[in-house]
Amino acid sequence: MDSPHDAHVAERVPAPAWAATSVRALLVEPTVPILLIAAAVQVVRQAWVDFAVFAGGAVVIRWDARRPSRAVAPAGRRRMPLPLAVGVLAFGVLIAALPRGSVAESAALGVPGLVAAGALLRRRPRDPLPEPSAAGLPGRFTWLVLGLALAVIELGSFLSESTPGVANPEHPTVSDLLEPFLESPVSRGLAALAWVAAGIWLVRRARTAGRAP
Amino acid sequence: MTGWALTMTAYGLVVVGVVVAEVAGRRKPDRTPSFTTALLRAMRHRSAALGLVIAWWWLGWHFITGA
Repeated sequence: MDSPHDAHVAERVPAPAWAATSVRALLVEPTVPILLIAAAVQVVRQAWVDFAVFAGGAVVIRWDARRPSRAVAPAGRRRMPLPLAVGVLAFGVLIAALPRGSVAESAALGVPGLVAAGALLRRRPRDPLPEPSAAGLPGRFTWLVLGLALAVIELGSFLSESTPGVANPEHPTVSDLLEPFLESPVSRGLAALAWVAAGIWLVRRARTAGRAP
Repeated sequence: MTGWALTMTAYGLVVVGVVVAEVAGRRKPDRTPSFTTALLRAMRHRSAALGLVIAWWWLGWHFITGA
């Protein structure tokens, strides 16, 4: 007679099948692992606010995935309301006016993040959406590969710094390259304007996202 | 080749790759998705959508404050 232990062993998934299932799950839901890797990089950078953002984001996403889902009809496309457009313009002017790196600027830049988080988490996740028919596109990983390449170059440049945060002129990070541009208040205001507009676009679409199947 | 030239070449290759992928995505969407299409496809999943919003906020805050 088989012992409970033998029965448990017999039910085990073979290692190759387990690995294939894990890789598939990672490709479908890579967000939390990516955020945890980003959080680990912030530990190396000794950037504790950034660490809290990524690690906290991973925790919130895990919590959100456990909430009961809701069934709703897909939202239609809507133009940005005029008051919101005026608010985006005013935000760009505000960021241009505030001293760079000041507490007031950091606090002002935190507001769009809090508003976005509130707008998204106020609603429970939707039911899973059907997978797009073009999921088998030959080039579907193109953008992932490009993003990974940029991350590897950026990480290499960062690790070449003798002191974290002190630029190595031989291997500049993207931040080092953008720094001269963002020193100007006008450029910073325009960047803030484009950033908030992109965030509104993202949040509007993120509100219609469904739970992974 | 100096370290600076090597790094700039690597960044340049990524920029060229982005332009080529975007042009390919617009000309032959049945082979390669454009950036917007890829983004919208990823955002069908709630966790990816939340992750992208976190990444969006962090990028803006990081670059604009110079933190």
